[in-house]
Amino acid sequence: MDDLVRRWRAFQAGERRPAAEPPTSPSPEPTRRVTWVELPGGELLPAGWRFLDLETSALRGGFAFLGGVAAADGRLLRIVQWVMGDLPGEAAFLHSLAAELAGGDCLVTYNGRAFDWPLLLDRARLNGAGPWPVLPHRDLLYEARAVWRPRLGGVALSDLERTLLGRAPRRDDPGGAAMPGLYRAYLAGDVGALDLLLGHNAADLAALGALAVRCRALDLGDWHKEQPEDLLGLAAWRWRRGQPDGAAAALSAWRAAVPRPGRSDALRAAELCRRLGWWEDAARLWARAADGPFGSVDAAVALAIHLERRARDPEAALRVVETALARPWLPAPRRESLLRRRDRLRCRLARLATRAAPA
Amino acid sequence: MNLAQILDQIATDIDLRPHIAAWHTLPPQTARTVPVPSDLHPAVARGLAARGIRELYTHQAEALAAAQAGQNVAVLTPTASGKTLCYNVPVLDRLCREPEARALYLFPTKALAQDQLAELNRLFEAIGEPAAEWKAFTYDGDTPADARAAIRQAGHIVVTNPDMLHASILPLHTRWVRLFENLRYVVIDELHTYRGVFGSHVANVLRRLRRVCRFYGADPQFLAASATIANPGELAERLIGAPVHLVGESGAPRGERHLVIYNPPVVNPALGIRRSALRESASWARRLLREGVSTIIFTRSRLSVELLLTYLRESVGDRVRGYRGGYLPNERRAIERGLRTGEIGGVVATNALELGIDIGSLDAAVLHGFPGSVASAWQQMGRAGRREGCSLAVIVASSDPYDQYLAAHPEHFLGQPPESGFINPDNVYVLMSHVKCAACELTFEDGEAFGEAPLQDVLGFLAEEQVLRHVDGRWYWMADHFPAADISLRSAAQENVVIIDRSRGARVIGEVDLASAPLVVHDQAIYLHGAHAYQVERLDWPNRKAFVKPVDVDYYTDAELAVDLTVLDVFRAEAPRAWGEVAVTAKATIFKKIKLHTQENVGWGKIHLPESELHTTAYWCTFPDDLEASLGREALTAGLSGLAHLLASLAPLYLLCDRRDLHATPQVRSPFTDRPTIYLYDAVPGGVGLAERLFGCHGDLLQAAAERIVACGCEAGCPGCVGAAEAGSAGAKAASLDLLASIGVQAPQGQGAHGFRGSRDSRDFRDSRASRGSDDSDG
Repeated sequence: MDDLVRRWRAFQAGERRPAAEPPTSPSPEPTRRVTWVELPGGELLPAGWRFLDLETSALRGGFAFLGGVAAADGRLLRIVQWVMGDLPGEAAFLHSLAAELAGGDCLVTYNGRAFDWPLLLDRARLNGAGPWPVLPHRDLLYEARAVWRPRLGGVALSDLERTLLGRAPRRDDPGGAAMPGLYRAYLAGDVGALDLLLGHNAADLAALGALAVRCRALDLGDWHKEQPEDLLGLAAWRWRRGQPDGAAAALSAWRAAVPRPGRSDALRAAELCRRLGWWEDAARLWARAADGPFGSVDAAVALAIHLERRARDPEAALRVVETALARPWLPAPRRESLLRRRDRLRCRLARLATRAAPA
Repeated sequence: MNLAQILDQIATDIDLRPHIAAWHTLPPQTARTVPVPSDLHPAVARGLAARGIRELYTHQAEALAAAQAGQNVAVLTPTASGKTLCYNVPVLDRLCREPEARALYLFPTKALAQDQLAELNRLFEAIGEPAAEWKAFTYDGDTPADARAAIRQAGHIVVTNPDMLHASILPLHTRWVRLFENLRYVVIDELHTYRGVFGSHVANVLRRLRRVCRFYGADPQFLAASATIANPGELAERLIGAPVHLVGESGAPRGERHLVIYNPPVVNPALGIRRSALRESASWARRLLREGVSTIIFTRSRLSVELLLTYLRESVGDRVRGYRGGYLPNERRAIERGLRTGEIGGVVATNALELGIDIGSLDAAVLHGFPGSVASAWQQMGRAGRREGCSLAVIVASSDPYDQYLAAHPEHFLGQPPESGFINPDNVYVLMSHVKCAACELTFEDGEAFGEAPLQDVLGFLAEEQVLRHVDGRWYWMADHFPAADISLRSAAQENVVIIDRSRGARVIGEVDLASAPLVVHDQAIYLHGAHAYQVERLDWPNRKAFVKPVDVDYYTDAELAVDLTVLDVFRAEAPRAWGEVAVTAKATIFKKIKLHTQENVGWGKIHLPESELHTTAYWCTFPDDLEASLGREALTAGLSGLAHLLASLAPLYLLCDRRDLHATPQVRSPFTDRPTIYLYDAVPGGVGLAERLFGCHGDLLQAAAERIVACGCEAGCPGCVGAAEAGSAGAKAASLDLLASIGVQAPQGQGAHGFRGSRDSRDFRDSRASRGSDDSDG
């Protein structure tokens, strides 16, 4: 702030920087460009899906200056891009973008639910642009997180491009962070900036299209491209989306492909089995998750509850609790709760023994 | 024994009487009421009747009439005079007539917002139809994310704070279309808190608010309410940027009020030591509480709250509670409720209870020492005083010079109006920030106004900085950052340390602000909370947690803070004045273990915590290095502190800031200048241009200081000029004049000369001790 105020003093004293802008800034009218790119598997995608990706002036408090809308056409992806000419042209730009979306029946984005879409609605309201098309919205970020993040770690679109989709590295792409600066350069008359802006946006849309093909294949039950461990995430995702049958199918495939899962996967899978009512599977998975000195205490507790209440085997439940208690590093509240459970189980067993004993 | 009888007893108590420096009686005031106006919507009239209100006090009726006539209104009336109805009645009246109408309530703190929400819901209930359909919500940092969307759509009354308005509501105005399209009233309670730099920020937030409202076709009226302040109308007009109808005459009844200034007796005449003001305050409170007189005891620091509480609990038990910053919200709410219902007979509080939190009225207030300002003193004393019957406020003078001066010259206090609130919304640092936020919210047009600010110049500058882009007569936001996120309206950091009791699980029992934490919850500290002692076992500084366990000990700890000022850079220097960047470091150094009751020192320890650093801008004035030889060290020290005190109290008049925005540090030999030096620095990280303007008005400021000293009728210094002198110390007044003369500032000849706007600035007679005290208080 201090520097800004010092420059303000100089400004007030009449110091002016040489005019940076040539007189050839673009007209406010939006520019349209259409590109076709190859999209292997594109024929799987419904024709009404509209892929949307925006380039904006800031992450918060900014405006969109470039909007790309893509749709699959057989094994090709047709990309239509609108670039705002100059700032007074925002309403016309938004209008063009809305018209581009209007023919679709499903909006597909990557992180659009939290970012692109609300930003567009805000800017539309500000510019009095309406009516705005309302489409069902599928944001692939959420399913990417559920299915692939456990294995891949990062699920930024640029990461997935490389790690999941096997696409060639982008060349001459300045990256998303450079977009606001390039747009300023464009406004200042740098025509070359426009190609960089459009190129980056088109590459993002192409990656989004490829990811959509992958997700669509999963929708259709074709998971031959996925690693076996990803099927567990897929099952969890389907359960969250209210598709118990789909979840069951993915979970079965996972059980068949991964006979001895890691402890944390076993715990996640057991939770799904519990929800699906697959109690025996759940019990086996809890036992796996609770196994060994580093096993999950949560799993042990869940297993003990199952054995006591559902399998009606309090002795087995007690054994599970006692094994869990044998761990030396339990946090105090955890230990106390396990001790209470152990004591209760012992009392119950004693009562049962008394009742069973001949009078 | 009732309070009147106790007062009779005190008046005739020959042990007490000689130490009462002043006993002032304010006569009772009868209620001035008018019937509920016939043009008030019948549903509101019915609601008021259901709550037993069949007449309005004259000030309530005046506020209602002015609001109905379309005016902005500022109400200045005492505590417990029915101030909230001054704005609630016009708002409810409007809601009845226009179901889509919306109102926005701004309170400076979340606690006040909660308090008001409860009151609004009670009023809705009393009104019944159509209020059953209305919804009032608080919208602040605690509002869950999933509730926010509903509030944006449904809230008829949104109760929030200026910080949320600035950082969340205005930047996202497109999500608040229903509120802004239908906004009819903006209520600003506790107007007096919006002064100085904070007030200047809020004034700009309100400029942004009015601008966004215009965009949606609304032009809301503003209804403001203020506690004691000298210039409520002027402050409201500056803040809102529009004319205001001032309602200043209260029609509420008041019982007879007794104001007593008590100076504890001297126990060691040779050293001039008086009996402890803390213990004397406890003794006054005990006398009142034992007789069932509901009493609030105000003290200046959080530690004193706990000590007073500990002493009082020993004699009057659990009927007395503590109340200060750092108690958890639920605990505070329970205490407020207990005070309203009468279950709690007494409370020991910091100025956290000075603001308008509803605790009902109490019979008596005991002030342990004068608070920092006249306004605070009246505000605190105003907590005692019912509408009928008499009430008592006692100020127990502490031993510091400021209190002793006022005990010796009670007329100085009684004759003073309260302080003025100044703001400068066009301070370029503040303005620039908000123009950016405003431009990000909505594009500016050529010729558009933003208050009285030189907007077009600022826009042109920001365009040159490539923050804005000027096309076709409009200014568009172009930067790739979100300006509201970079700007805090308040200078103090909002971070805190939570205090966790590990004896029963891990229960959070309180919190402490980050700046005070090294003094209060360092390792081995005894932390007092509600008169219970806890020992700090470990302060986890990086994670901002202090782990404590209850202990039974009869000592407490008191830590010392070393503050140091280092010059980092000089922007301009024209001897004797300079302006530059400084670092002010504060480090908790040691703590002492002090036995309860006897105050014996029973041990000490070192504190090993990182220092805190404030980088800011400072103005400084140096004096010749031979002054020590000519004046003597004692006189030089007294003169420097006296002059620093005076400059700090005069400067706000030139800068239109608040006293708390600027700190003064005198150094007898500054390590940087190698001479006697007085530093005045912006109490805001990074500075807000105050020091730079002091550098500019240096000559006028020093001349005004000289005139003030000469014009002041006191002998050796008083709070109105160079601060009250320590008993027996060298005359700070004469020494200050010598200092000024040494740099060529000549005092005007003779008495009676008047300083710059002398009648106004003499109101501010806080001294450095008082402002130090406020560091630990909750204001």
